[in-house]
Amino acid sequence: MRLTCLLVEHLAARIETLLDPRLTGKPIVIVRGWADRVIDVTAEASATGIRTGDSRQRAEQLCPQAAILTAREELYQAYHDQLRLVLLNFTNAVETADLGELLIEVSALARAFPSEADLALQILSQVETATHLQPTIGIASNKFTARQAARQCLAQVGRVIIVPDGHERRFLEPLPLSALPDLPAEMSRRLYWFGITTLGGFAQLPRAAVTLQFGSEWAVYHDLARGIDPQPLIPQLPPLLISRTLKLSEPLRDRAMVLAAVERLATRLAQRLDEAGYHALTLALRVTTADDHEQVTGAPVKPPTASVEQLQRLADRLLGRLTFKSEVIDLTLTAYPLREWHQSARQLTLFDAPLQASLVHLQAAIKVLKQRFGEAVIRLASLIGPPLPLPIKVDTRADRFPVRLSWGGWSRRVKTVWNCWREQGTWWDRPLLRDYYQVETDNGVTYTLFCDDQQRWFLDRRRG
Amino acid sequence: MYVELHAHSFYSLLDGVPSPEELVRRAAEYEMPALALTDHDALYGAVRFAEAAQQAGVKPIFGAEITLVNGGGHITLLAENDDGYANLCRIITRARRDQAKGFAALPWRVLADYHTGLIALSGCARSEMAWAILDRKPDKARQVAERFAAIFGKHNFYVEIQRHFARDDRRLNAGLVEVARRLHLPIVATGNTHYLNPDGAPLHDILTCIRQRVPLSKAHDLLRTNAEYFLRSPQETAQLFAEWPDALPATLEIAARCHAKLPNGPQTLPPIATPDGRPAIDYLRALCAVGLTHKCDHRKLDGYRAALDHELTIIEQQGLTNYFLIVWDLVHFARSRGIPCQGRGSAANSLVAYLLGITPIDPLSIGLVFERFLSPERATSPDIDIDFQADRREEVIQYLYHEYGHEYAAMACTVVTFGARQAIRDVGMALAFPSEMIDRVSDSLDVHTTGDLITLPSLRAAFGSQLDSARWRQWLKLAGALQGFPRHLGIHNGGMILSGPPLSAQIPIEPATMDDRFVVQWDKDSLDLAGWIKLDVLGLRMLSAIADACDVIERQTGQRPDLSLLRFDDRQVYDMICRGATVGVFQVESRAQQDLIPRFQPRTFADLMVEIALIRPGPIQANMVHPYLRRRDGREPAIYLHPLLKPALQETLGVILFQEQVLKVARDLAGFTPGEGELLRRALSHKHAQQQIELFRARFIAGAQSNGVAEKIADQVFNQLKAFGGYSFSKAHAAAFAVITYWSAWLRCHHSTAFFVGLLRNQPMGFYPKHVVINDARRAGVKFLPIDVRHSQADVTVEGEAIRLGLSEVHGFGPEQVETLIVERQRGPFQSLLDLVKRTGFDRPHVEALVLAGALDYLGERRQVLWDIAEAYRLAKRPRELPLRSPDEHARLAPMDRETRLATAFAFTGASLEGHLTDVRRDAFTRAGARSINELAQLKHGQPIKIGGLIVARQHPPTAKGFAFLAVEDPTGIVNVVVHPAIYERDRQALHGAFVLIEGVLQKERGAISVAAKKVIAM
Repeated sequence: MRLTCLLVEHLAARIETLLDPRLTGKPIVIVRGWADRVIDVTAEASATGIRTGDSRQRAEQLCPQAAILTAREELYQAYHDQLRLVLLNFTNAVETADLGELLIEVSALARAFPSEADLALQILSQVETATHLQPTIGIASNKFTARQAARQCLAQVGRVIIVPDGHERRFLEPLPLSALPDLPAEMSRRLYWFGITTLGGFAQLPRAAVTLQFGSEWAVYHDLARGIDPQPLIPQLPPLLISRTLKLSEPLRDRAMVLAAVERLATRLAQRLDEAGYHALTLALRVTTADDHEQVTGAPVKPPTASVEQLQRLADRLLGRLTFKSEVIDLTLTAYPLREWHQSARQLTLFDAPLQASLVHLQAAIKVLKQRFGEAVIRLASLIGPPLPLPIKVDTRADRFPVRLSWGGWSRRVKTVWNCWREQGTWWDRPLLRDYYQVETDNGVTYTLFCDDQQRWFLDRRRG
Repeated sequence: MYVELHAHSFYSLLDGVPSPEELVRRAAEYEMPALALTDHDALYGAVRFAEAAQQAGVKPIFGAEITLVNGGGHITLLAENDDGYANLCRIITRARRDQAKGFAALPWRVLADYHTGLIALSGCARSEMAWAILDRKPDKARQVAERFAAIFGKHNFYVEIQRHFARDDRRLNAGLVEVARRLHLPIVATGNTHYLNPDGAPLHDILTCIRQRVPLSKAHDLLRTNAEYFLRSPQETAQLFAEWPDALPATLEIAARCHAKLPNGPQTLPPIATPDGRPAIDYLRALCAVGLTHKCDHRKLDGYRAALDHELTIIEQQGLTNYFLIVWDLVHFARSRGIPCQGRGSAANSLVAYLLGITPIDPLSIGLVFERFLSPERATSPDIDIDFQADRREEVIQYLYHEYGHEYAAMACTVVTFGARQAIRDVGMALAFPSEMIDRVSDSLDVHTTGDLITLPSLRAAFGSQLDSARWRQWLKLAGALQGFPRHLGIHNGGMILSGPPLSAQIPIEPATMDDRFVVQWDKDSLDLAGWIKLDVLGLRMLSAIADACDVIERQTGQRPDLSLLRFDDRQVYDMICRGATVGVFQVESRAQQDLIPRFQPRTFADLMVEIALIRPGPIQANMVHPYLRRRDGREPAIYLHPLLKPALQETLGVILFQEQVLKVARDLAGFTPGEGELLRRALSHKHAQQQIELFRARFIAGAQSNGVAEKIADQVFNQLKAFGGYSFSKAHAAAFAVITYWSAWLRCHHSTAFFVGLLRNQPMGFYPKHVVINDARRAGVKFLPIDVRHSQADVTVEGEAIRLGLSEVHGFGPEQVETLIVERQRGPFQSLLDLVKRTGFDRPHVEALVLAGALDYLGERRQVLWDIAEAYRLAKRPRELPLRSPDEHARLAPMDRETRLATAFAFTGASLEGHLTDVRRDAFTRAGARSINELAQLKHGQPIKIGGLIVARQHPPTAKGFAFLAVEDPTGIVNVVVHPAIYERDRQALHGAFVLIEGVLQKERGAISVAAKKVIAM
């Protein structure tokens, strides 16, 4: 078996640099917005001690000069998909090892090229054309070695390293023990005291001795150091295509009848796609007539979908392109290539817009979800956080006590101010200063309002 | 008008921001006639508070916020009169008793026993009453109020209302006032202040996080909800409490009632039993008479008698008779138990102390001045400092507790304050900075760093523009502000307080972390300020080392040397010192002393005294060292600014070297009495006494002029005295130390093996780490044997002619492990690793440490033995399994090379006998062209050179104008390196490493060799 590892290390940071060349050479930290956690760091930033999983605060503390960017995960996924699509041009079996790191099996494929190097260069060329990114490639007989080879390209001249069969151990020999993924700290400590600092040194130990020393569970690391990685490629293999065929019991000449049959076929195809969780990227229609003549036409599905209506409409259009000289006896509708539905899913942003707009968005989202998954899919689970303060207008007395509240065309006089207090905090991060008032309006309802440090008034909906 | 009756200072330990002085200053600005200090369960700041209040014309009210047990919350107590103050002390003592360090909890019933003279306020929002109101249980609140009103009386219990714009303020205050009105109790407004201004709130939050050991982001409810806990002006307070018009006048009423005073010293000392119940002074006189007979030159007896009478008169006048008897008794006890001890410091000026055997030096024989120790004019009380063998000091302390009782004896506390490094660490933790970053910043600071950290050049050099980011500025600003704040309480080095009446009615007592130790809540400065007498029971490791060395000699020769019989005139001892072979010798081993010795060439006991006194900040800052050396060598005549100075300065060739000379100069030139001279000396040595010094200057010049001295000369002399004002030794102290210097030098000279055994048994001590001591001993011809589980004892021992390192040197080996090993070994040697694992039951890290320390080398090559540990533990678990293995189950590891063996042994024992640690960099040093340190003696002054070695001592004293000093060691010796400030800043990272290559210029001056560094490179 020969495996190729395609690697764009620090994909997210590389994309950001690609899109904004001013970032070139700067330490870059990519933070996932909602979790405030680092998901990628460049080598420059990594040198200051920032690691993936760190908080944004920690990143700012460790490397104040770093460009700290909010992750654009859809964008990174799109680039990753591009990498995958390029590889899909070569083979159907693509495994995603990590964001920007993919593996394919090339034993058979390489025969179509003068050499593995030519195959690698072809892949590199296509990736560069498609993404403008500069990946590296490692080719070896197993995953671990191929991945290490792709990484070593960064340290060595050239962007392709091919490890011939049987040379895995020699290739891995000089690498440090840290190349072993998730090496247990205790094992690392003992190996240090044994004077073993490289994979080569580790590999030299007898397997049986290693098992005795560390137990069979940890002996797996010894196999890796020796260039043995029995893990198979685990590709996410979308089916090449899904098709549905309709063999007509009675040949049809009437175009309207054929159209109805195509629409029925499109419905069946859409249902199948939906069941399997795929979207069609292209739709093809094959029509066979009684004179044994076969016509095929196709078109991209934009956006990719499994929607009955959209596939019906497209199938109708495809049928419109064809002319028949005799009766139609056979219809086949094929969706290809396919991709998982969630890759084309769009996350709706609900809370950035004003309340009314948010509600509209939410209703739309609920509708889409119900359409896609059925009525039962939406449940009220729990509140995911306190409701955000609602901006309101407040008229005040000279001493800043509220006398009238207004919002959304609604206005009430304040009858009584029951309480007032001040809250201050988070001065170390985002300073907060709020003067709260608990008021009763003339209709007998109690509200909690606050005025922030910029003299803006809000209704605190946590407190009624 | 308003008086703040509930204020916390930074003595609420991590729950208050202002100092007592700042609180008083602000109260004075607000024209408050009085101010109460109510720190949590403590009177740590009471003396400073009283002093500041007196100066500002504000009436001090002493109080505390007491924590009650079982969720009783807080209650505020104020001392109305002296009885109340005594009860407050008793209550705090009781609240602290049986609690962990830093905590207090008082059963409320105890208040009933000690309520007299106290005014109680119901407490803050964390009080039992407040909690009841907030829980909507007004009946319970009423019961609590009734209970306290019954204890303190209706006119002494006030319901405390506060206004901080907290959410529940309004409801709480309404509830409290309702209870007060129903029970006809008075209400009083207080501020519960924790900082002076709202901008002090962040610092208070930081302190809270440090106290609770959580970062700010996780502190949540631990932090106060806003920044309203500041000291408000009376006008602002009046507005806040406008709806309760009686709340403010009550503050004035309480303030008018409070007139308690602090118990100023000297305290009444415990009586000491005298034979036949005769008066203490008679007994003291009799004891001195015995000493006079045995210790003094009979030809000068009259002079001694006159001096003795003079001293005894003053001692009696000052009420210190018991004090001397107590100290005599203590020394007597120690000697009876074979614990070496001797007095040091100014007490050595006293003939009485000498005759009682407290100090080793006859003060009259070397011209010491008694008034330096004690005089009627002295504003402060005298201390007697006594050094005891360090490892047996606890016996002495426990003797005092046992003899006088815990109620009457306690140690002084030490308020440990934030230095820059600690502040950086704690604030960094609170702001959740990464620990590795905190370490880096902390390492970039010196021990003495103070002031603004943002502009600190060393930080700028290390972190550049990072310092300008908002988060870093916040960190450094807060850390800078925290410097000097009390952090926690410690025990004073040895300051012991004794009292005739119970201490707990005068100063609160609390248990220290150490078992059977109790401390009073005043530190040394507070005790000094209040005039209390203390007794310093100090531990001196050198005395332990000397005792250990004498034990070894006794075991080797059968005869224990009596060091007190030495005559301080052994030529070989002085020869050794003059050769610079002084590592381990008391007081003369330091880098600076090593540099001085070749030029100074001490030959007598008096020389030793001078040599010890010369290398002190006082003489160094006053530029006295070089003139003294030149005059001593005859290269320059002794110069006196005025002939009147000659009697005082003749013995030190015209320079001021000893503290006593300040008194003599002031007396001879300006007509100061000895007491006035002592006050002048104290003022000069006090950093913050500028105003006082200038008053003395005027008095000095006037006095000098009346003696016919020109104003210009008088001014010059005074400036010299001022420059000398930093830390310096009294002649008495230098003499006491010189005795120990001579003893240790004599042991090194004549019994070097025993001497080094003593030193190594008492590490860490002195100037150099253990490995430097061992290297020096080896260069001096002492042989060493490595740690070996077959032979080593717990501690360093003598084996034949050599020193065997002990098992306790192995890192991670405590007494328990050592004992297990020795007991098992006595049952038979360990035949194998498996045997050792089975019999000792040690866990893997301990066995690994033994292997890496080289203690199991007899079992085979270290790496192989390490490998076999896994097998040994497996077999130990399955005893029936046979240790038979096929060849492919054996790992063949490369033997550990010498450098690694050396480094690991060093890492696991702090020393290595396989070579010098620099051997691991030998090739690099050779390639870089470094010379051996022992070659330097053959090279010429001014020659450019490179040396490579290990930094074994690093000094960057604040008095050295930015210069840093290193001691660098290679296998052949140690050399001093002087680093210019610019080079220090530039090469700071390298200077804080271990191995360095130094490019510089060789400096040779009359035998003293050093290197002026031009470049320091980390290796």
